[in-house]
Amino acid sequence: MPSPSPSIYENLSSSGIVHGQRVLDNFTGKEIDTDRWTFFNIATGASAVSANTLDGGLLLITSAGSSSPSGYLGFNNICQYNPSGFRFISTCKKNSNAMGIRGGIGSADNPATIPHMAVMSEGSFVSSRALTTNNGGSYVDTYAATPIPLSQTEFVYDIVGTPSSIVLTIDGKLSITKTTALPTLKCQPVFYIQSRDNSLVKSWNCKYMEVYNT
Amino acid sequence: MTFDSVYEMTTPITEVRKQRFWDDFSGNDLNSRWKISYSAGNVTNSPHTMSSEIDGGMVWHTNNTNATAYNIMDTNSKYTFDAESCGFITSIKMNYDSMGSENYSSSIGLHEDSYIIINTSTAGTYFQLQCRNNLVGTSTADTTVKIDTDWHTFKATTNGTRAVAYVDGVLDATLTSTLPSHEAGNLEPFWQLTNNTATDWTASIKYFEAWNI
Repeated sequence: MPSPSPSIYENLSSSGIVHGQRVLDNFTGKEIDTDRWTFFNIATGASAVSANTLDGGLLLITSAGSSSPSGYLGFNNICQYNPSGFRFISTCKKNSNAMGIRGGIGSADNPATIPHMAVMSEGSFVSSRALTTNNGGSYVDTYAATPIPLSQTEFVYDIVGTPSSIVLTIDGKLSITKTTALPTLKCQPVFYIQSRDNSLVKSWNCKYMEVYNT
Repeated sequence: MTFDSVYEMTTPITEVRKQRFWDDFSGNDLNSRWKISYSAGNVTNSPHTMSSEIDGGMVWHTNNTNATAYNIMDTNSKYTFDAESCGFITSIKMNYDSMGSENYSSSIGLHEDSYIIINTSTAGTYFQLQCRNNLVGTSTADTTVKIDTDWHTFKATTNGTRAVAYVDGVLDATLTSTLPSHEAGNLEPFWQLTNNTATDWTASIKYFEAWNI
């Protein structure tokens, strides 16, 4: 293990460098930090709360109502992250099927149809875990050469953006690379849930999120 | 390079870690750990907003109608930092040339009535390390970096007998007198903007970290 440095800053970058914008959240406490996060209830019946379960972190949850309840957690369209030079690390635990999940960075405007984004997609939106990007047009889902099955097993995902590509890595191993439909507008962290079944409550957990400009 | 814990990033597991505070200034609003106060007017005159620009951090405005007003951001007089053994590191940016006709200044660091700060003074040309012991007086040392409108990372520490300041990783100023002391009082995170013309000037911040040594 390396030797400690006096500050968190100097462990992450040299003090000779003005490091890029960064934020991390452990999602633990009595409630979501609403100084930082804003939840948009897109279709009535979704919310973001602090989980009261072991390793629960953030719980995104829908009601059992009709009309595909959905919602979106972000920075209220405060967009400080560079889609051409960023890294996003987070965890995902899907708790049921017949629901869609996205996590990553996205631009402002309509959260239901984010115009520019780079997100991990899990659940009913895709046939296997996918890297979904957008550059002002339609969403483009890209799959691994060996498809990564959808599942309720918790995983960590890592999205790295450069001017020429976006790479999604799952559990530090399986990667998906995309070189087209890359987002170009400034972005914020985004977490999305949508029920694809009107009869049951749907939820997923996230216990860590870190994003920084590279 | 990996650490088993955030704790061990700064402190060996064989030691009890001392007080630490940090903020990345990223999100939809300023974290409510901070308290903002105004010598005149209020948030309407001196708003703070989270910048919606890449690497924007938080933007803070000087009072737009009062030429001698100042704004202070601190932790509401919670003095948890040791006057004789502490440090801070911060990334800030003056958005206007404070040495030109845009006369305003920034003071950031650890403060009570005594302080250790990085100062942009309208009377100087360079970023300064400034220390005050309210029982003794105030001293100032210029760094070699001229005040400009670029982002800079400033770090300063004191051990009670010697205070040092780094600008962008380079040791650049030292003071050995009028340093904060236990007798004068312990310190809290602090940022002050002062304007000298009744104009809306701004400065930005995207990182602040303080710790006891």
